[in-house]
Amino acid sequence: MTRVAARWAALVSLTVVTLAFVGPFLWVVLASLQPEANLTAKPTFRFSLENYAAVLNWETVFRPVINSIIISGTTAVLTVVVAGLAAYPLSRYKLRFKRHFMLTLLFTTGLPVTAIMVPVYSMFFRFNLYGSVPAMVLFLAASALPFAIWMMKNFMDGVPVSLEEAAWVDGAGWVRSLLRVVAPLMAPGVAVVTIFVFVGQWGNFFVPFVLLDTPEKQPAAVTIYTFFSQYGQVAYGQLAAFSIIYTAPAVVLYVAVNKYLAGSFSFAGSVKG
Amino acid sequence: MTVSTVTPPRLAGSPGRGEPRRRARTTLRRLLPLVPALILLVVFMAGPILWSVYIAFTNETLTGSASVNSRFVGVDNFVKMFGDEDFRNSLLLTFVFVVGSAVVGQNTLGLIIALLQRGRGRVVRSVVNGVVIAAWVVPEVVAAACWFSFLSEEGTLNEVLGAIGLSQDWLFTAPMIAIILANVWRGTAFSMLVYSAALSDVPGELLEAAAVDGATTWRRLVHVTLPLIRRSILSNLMLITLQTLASFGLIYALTGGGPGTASQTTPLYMYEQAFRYFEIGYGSAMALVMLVIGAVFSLVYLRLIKVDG
Amino acid sequence: MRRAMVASMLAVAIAATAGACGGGASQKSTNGSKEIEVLYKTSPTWPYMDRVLKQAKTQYEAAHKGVTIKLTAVQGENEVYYTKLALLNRSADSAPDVYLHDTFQVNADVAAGKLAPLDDYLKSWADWGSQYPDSVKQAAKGPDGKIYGVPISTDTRGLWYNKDVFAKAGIQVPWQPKTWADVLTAARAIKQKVPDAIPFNIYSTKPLGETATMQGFEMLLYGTPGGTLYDDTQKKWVASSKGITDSLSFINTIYRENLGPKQADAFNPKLGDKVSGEWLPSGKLGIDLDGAWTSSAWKPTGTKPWPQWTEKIGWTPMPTQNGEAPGAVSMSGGWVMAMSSYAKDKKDSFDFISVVTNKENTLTYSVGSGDLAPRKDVAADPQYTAGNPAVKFWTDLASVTHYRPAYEVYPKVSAEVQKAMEAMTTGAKTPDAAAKEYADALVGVVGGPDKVTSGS
Repeated sequence: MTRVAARWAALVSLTVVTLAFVGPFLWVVLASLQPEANLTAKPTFRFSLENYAAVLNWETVFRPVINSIIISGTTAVLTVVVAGLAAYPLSRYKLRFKRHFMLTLLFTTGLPVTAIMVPVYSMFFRFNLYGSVPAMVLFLAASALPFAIWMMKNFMDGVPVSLEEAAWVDGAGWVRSLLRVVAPLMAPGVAVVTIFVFVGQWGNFFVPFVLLDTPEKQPAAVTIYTFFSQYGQVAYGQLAAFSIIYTAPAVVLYVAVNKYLAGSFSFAGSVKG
Repeated sequence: MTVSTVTPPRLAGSPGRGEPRRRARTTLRRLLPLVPALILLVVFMAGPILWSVYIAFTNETLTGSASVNSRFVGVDNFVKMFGDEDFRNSLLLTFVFVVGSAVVGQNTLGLIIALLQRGRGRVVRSVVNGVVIAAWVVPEVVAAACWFSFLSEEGTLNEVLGAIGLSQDWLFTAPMIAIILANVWRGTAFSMLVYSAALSDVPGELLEAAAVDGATTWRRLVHVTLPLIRRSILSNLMLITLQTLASFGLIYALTGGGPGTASQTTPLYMYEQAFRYFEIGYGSAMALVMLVIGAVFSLVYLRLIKVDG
Repeated sequence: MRRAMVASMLAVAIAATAGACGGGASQKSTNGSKEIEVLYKTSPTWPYMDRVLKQAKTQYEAAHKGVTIKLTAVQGENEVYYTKLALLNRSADSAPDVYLHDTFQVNADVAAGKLAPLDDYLKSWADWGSQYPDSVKQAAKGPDGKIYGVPISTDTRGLWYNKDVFAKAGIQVPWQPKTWADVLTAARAIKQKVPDAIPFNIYSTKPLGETATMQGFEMLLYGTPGGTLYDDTQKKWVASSKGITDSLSFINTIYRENLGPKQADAFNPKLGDKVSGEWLPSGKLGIDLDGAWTSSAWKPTGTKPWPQWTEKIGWTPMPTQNGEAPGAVSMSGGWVMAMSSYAKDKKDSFDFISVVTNKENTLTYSVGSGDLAPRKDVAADPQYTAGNPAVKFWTDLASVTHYRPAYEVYPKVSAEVQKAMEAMTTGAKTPDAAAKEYADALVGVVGGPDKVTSGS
């Protein structure tokens, strides 16, 4: 096979893959714009924003989306702050149990935490935390922490200690050197971790579904499920419009950090403790 | 490492000697930033895990008399579980789901896309990346809605296949394939990103040298590239296996585990037992089994990368 | 000292969480005004309770200054509602004060101590003595003889059929099947002569939940000679009987001969909406084994207005297996308004229940939902019968109706019944194998071999 042929073969394959991935999206986009949408992605020449208008109200879209922003936002900020603090000594000092700790974290990353939602519900109920948004956020943050600490430490390792030493000479403590010197330099890393956690929680359905009580507290992930199961076979267009409104923020955020994303997935060399 | 590291008791009992004490203080001050993370991890990670161990040995229920007086029932839940045909069915389906989606689907497709992208122009890469990542970012319930419309009886796929007389209700006739496809669609991006990063570390000279020696594309892949990214392959396999194992939302929204129990993986069966039939103790015992399976995978994973490194 | 610091930080963290969650509950009685939280279910195709409760809220709040009614609707089918209610009901903080409750779950909740007995309040409520027939009062009676709910609805079950489909199939109307065999004969005729119609609908899968057990299986079982799930004289559950096997065989016949809905539809949790909203009106279904309320969708105020239904649709009792006396069978259930044992203001909560179930609101509910009226004054109201020629028929079925053995373990028994039916639907097991499996499973479900017996 010549190079040119190989190149074309690769391009054709990539086109096929791309189309296959675009396929399932088609319906959502088309149906959301068609006033009489059904389950088939078949465009007619009548486009309208009726479906969007129909779902853009407090109970269907605004309240759940605001809840999602609060839940995902506080989880992301809390996780990043706590992980950033924890990463500092792990990155900067020689500590006796560091290797063990890092390996434990890695081990924890692997535990299927969502698989234990039943006992988690039981525990939340027993300690009177069922229905509490702050308690759920703490649980979400804890489950995101191991991975976040890992990533933060890796990013922090990339910031040269020499820069910090200059700050130490000036008499700055670790708090100041972390805030003034390290944090700005790892801004891209912080952004990646924040968005990683945020988007992860944005789509999280199981945890709020089990741990929150009333509809007023539910994030969009849960209300869209209710909408899907209740109106999914009737109001296709509205379901599609709701899907797009709900998905858009996650996609936009990812596009924003796409540039830095690839670098965070290098696993080789990240396990040397 | 636990909280006890923060306050080693031995140090507290040796006040006389100044030097080690000062060093201990320094260590403590340095460890201070770890404290919030430790508290969160102990209370909200270790806590639920220990709690699941406890609750799995009780007969706790959501309603009825056992909801007020739950008691220890020893290993009853586990005995029941392994005699429960539906549970065994769910384990088998979980295995099929994990192998089909994670090991075969996401992993292979992710690697293929990453390989195909090597040496392509920026535009091609960003279009492909963008589309694949978009599928990943889509929340699981929306992914379910997309695939529902795509596969259902009046859906897009049948519209296309109808012409050649192959249309059917895919969610009913092939529910496992439906959830595997949907999960591959959503999960491939992760593997693709891991492999793209790994492939960018493979030195181009090595491949060119092999090409000069007359190695075919396939041989170069098998004998040069794959061994070099071995560790990324292992890491990726482990991570996606563990993510897929506990997958709930997508399956729940797409097929609900049905028809019957035809796509009822263990997390769904656990949910049904706990929240539809109100058997919290029994559901927790299943959660514990899943947790142990996850832990075993996780340990194997650690061992693999340790041995390798 | 440092250790103390760590400990106190931990304490603060936990206290912060605990405090933050308490917030939800403590809102209940701020600035002297009371709030009563009411939980109920609603769905796009079943908005009736929602309408009634909103109406009752307005009436109540106008009459009781300082008390607010907080209505919390659960979107979804019955099964979704049962789960949500059970989850909320576990703790005093999250439990609603008043809720809509399915009668078959009352005993389990009485055993768990979640329901408040209403006897003391009922004594001073004149309507209870004058308007509710004795049979209706039993709907939510606990094992201790106390009353745990005021009925808002009751129902009966039987056969609906589409006269157009029957005409095409050459079956004479009015149709009066005397035995199961008559039903099957009609279904087979439809299959043969009207190929684009589904001959017979029976609910028979787990996604349909209690609907499948009650409308499907029990409508068959209680029509077999001596057929019952629970032997009242021995006080034991019936693990195996000819009736159980025969009922499963009937379902098996329906699906094996392709007389029932397609498999995909049989597993659709919204099958009921399809039947009343689509299939019966468009002549896509011949016979439907269903509840009295099915026609409510076709009213001018319903979700699928269809004024011609009174001519196009027929109704007849479900016959007993071989025409045994009394010739017909029906099952009755219903919903009550119940009060949580955690309710803080029990008097106010009961007052609200009495408003929801007053004549006006019960009438609104019955007329809307098509459920049978539990109150005598509502049943006698011309509005109740207006536009629904079938209402007398369904009400009269009360003479042959049966009630479920709504003991604490009943919901679990019901789950086993659904499993067996589902195996008939898919054809995964033979009726004998499924019956045997039911018998085996029942022992574990009801708590030991001494609690089961085998019937005739």
